[in-house]
Parts: sequence; structure tokens; C-alpha cells
Amino acid sequence: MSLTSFLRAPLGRGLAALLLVALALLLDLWQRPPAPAVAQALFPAGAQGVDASLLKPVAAGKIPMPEGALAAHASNLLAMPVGHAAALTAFWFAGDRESAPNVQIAASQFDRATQRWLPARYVVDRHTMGAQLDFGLRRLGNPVAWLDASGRVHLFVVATGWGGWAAGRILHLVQSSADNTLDKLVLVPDRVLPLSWLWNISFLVRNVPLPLADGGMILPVHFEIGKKYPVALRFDRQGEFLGMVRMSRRPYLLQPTLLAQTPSQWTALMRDHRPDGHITAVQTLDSGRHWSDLPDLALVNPDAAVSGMALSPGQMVLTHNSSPHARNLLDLSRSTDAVHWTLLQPLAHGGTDDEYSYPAVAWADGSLWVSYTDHRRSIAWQRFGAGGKP
Amino acid sequence: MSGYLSLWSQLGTDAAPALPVGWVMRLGLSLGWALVLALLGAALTYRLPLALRRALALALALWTLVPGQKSPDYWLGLAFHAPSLSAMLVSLWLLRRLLFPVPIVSWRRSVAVANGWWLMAAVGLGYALLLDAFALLPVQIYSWGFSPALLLGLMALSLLPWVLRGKTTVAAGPEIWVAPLALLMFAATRLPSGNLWDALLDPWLWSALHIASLRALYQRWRR
Repeated sequence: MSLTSFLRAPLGRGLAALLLVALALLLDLWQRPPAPAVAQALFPAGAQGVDASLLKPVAAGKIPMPEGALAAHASNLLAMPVGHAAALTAFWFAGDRESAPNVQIAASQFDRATQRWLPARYVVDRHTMGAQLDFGLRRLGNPVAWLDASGRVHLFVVATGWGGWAAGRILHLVQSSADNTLDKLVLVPDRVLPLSWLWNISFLVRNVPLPLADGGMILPVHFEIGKKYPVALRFDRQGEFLGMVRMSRRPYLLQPTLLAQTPSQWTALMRDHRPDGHITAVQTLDSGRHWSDLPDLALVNPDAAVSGMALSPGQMVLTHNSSPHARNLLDLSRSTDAVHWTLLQPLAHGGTDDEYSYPAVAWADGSLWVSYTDHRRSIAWQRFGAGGKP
Repeated sequence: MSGYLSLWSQLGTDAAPALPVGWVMRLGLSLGWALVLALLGAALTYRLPLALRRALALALALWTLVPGQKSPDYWLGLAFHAPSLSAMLVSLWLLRRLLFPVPIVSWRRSVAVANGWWLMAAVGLGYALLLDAFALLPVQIYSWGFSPALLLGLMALSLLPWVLRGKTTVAAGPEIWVAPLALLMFAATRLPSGNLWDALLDPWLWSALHIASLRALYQRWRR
């Protein structure tokens, strides 16, 4: 029997179709990594932890700007490993103004020996990244950094196509240099994260990931155009993308920040896009597989970014703008349950025309570090230690 | 029992995605836009002599394959990323039709058969994915595209017409193989993004299918 006559019979076609299906499945499974285990959150200050109510200011100042940069915004702090020359690396975007063609991602490190920030340098520019990706990037913004299990720096930035921030995509960059001290740090693009069918546009990143016990992390992101809703992305210990889960369908929630109550119970607090907004919340009880909406917090939110972290079980801190219609008051609050918050320390209080916004937090060298945008011109920082000691 | 559970987690939505490697993504992006632009060039100049149209299509494809900012795929990638594998296969099929013409009877017959339920299904799928992008559905359809179970189901579904109708569908022409071939290519290359939906349908192809669906409906109404 020839192949043609075999395929003319229904049974022959059925067998051929089965073979094709099996071939597709084998090709797929051959390339696929093993399914991940259930995610378990880690606490940066360890299970014994610290008493957040004892945190007092230790030091403060401005992070040096790259030469010639007129504007700075959206800083992010990365705690460096013990033994590294730097305690922290700060990333932010800088240039003539937000969304200007010359905006690049700048970085500086807090040197452990001198207890000072090193002069800033640019580490990501859109032209170099475009050449390496072989397609263009129009604007850059909102860097978010993470260290994988091998100590490599990963940087997630918003990179826009045609359109404004709402046409943004999340570009994943990975350290390619052997050394990640500031002068040697080199980042190369890995990929634009595949998050949406609509030309993959309108996903943005802002806040730090939630570290996991397996060395991986959960990266909180949000969809921006029209409806604004939060999504949690999971990555493995090497920074490979493991999947995405929508956290809510409410259309006004953006820039989630993740706080763990236990290894499997997490709360995400978010910026509220509604007028007269309050900080909004969603919660998972099963390590991020399913999320449910919580009532809004009592804290007001003037459509401004918030940033928080759980230092240890029951010890949470949150940085947030606390006036209803402006970003002139920036505070640090603490909580034991992520729902009820108490003012711990005012970070920056100004007049109605002042702006202190887009805070970021990190835990390093036994201290809480906060950075934020100061009038869109520079990045300010503050350090808090237990009892006011570094 | 644990073996079955492990197999299920490997096939279901708990499965870890397999994403394309960097050089394959860059190659897919350039090749995809080269095929689409060659098709556009050939289709928009259908009144010109055949030799000229072939030269134009070839020139457009070669221009797109040039790396860097001087290539159109650098800017098309900026706005729209890469075309789907289905769009690449449809472009290849139509390029063959336009640049190496076959008798008009065969063209009409194949278009008539290709239209119908499959077109409607593809258009409906696009609407579902669009609604999902705006979180207007209670389920998360796009994230299913990372699961091997979806590949398994869609591969079987796309081969069903050929298995059931055999001779009739074979006579219809190669377009009946677009979906199975796109799925098989996705399984092998993970292009364009590692998500199956991106391989099967992109927003531009979806827009074009609206026109093809309306045409199919009109033809059916006239019969």
C-alpha cells in the first residue's frame, strides 16, 4: 500500500494525525523546563526579624546624578550580597525630562567602605538595547532590579514602542559582565516579556520583587491602557520566566507592591487611579495561585506610587504619599497585618507645589533604606536603623 | 498517582513556559516581516508585469533582512513585534499565488473552502484574546498559551477537518494546513514569543481575517 492510498483511508489519516500531534507534544515537552514547586516567600530580615517600630533615621541625602542630567525619577534599590563592596545599588531613569529621547537608566552604588554613594553612571540606553534586540525602543523608564541565585543582576525596565507609557513593554536585561561593581556592570537585553496578545503592549513594572525560598521571585507588574489591573509574574532562581497570574479585574489598580504575611499568604498594596482614592489591596492565601480583592485601606492615595516590604513575619513597612490630592507629603508607616497602618516617620513634607514621589525600599546591612524622587530633579535617600543605629 | 500528578502539572497551566532563544527570536522577527512586506509589495502592485512584481517582492524581503535601523523590521518590531507563524505561512501561500499564478478556477475553489467556520473561529478567538487583554473575561486566556495542554488540544482540533473530510479538504489547497503547520513550527521553535496564541494569530492577521470572513459570508449569501 502506497503512502497516498494509506492517507486516502480515514483510518490512515487518523493515524497520521495522531503521529503529528505526538510529534508536536514531544517537541514541546523536550524544550520545557520542569514545572515549578509551590512558591514560598522569604523575609529579607530573616524569620527572627526586627521590630519595625524601633526603626529610627540614621542618615539621609541625595544620590549623585549623572553629569548633565536635568531630571530624575522612579528610583529602585537593590540590596547587594554580604562581601560585596557596595551595600546597595540604586537604579533610576535620568535625562532632560520624563520621556525625553535622551532618557537613560542611571545607577549608583553605596560603598560600604566610605559609606558614600559613588558617582552615577548610565547603564542602559535605548539605542544600544535596540541594536542588540534588532528592533527599536522609543523611551525607557521604571527600572526594577533583582539578584538571581548566582548573584547576577537582572533589570526590568519599561520600554515603549509607538505611543506613551501606555504602549510600554517590560524589557528584561541580564548582567553579562563577570563583575557587578558599578564601573564594571554591563547589562544586555534578554527579551521583552510576553504578557499580552495585543502586540504585547501596555505592561509596566515599578516595584521590587518578592523573594522566594527557591531562589526565584514574584515580580508585580500592571496593565496600563484603559483598564489598569495588577499581574504577578513568577521567575525561577536563574531569572527564567515561569508564568503570570492576574491579581484583580478591578480597573483602577496599578503599581502593586508585595508584602508577605507568611510564606504563602501575601498582600499586594496598590496605587489607586480613581479620584479621591485610597490605597487598594488584594490578597493570596495559596502562594499567588489565586488572588481576591480586599477592602480599600484607610490610607488615602493621590494616584501616586506606593512601595513596601515585609521585613519579617508581622513586621511590614510602607512608603506612601499621605495627602489626598498632591504628592507633597511622603510618609513611612508600619503594620503587623498589611491592613492597619501606623505612621512611623515622615519622610518629606513640603508645600502644595512640592513633590516627593515614587518611593522605593530595601533592607541591607541591618537597615531599612528608602529612596524617592525629589521634585523630579533628583533622587533622595534615607537610612533607618533599629534604635537609630546603623 | 504522583506520576500522573507530575504529568498533569507538566501538561497543564502549572507547566513552566519554554521561551525562544535570542537569535531565533531575532531571526523570526526579520523573516516574518520580510514575508509580510514582500506580500504587501506584490499585492499592491498587481497591475505591474509579473517579473517586476517578483523583483519588488524580493527586494523588499532582502531590505527587511538587513540588520539595524535602516531595515523596516527595526521599526515594525518597535511597534508590533513579530508577526505570527500563521501570518508567515499565509504570506508564503499568497506570495506563491500572486507571483506564480495558477488557474483562476483553483483560486476560487480554495478560497471558498478555506472560508467559513474556520475563519469565523479565528475571528472569534481574536475577540476573546482582545477582551482578555483588557481583563474583561473571568478567565486568563493568554496565560493558557504557555501550557502544552493547549498545544495538544489545538493540534488535534486543527487536524480534525483533514481526518474527517480527507479528499475534499486536500483538494481545497494548502491553506487547510496553516494552523497545524503553525502549531508544529511553534512546538519546534517557540516563535514568536513562547506563547502559543502569538504563534497562531496576531492582531494584524486577525484584522485581515475580518475582511476574508465578510467576503466568505457574501459569497455564501450569493450562492
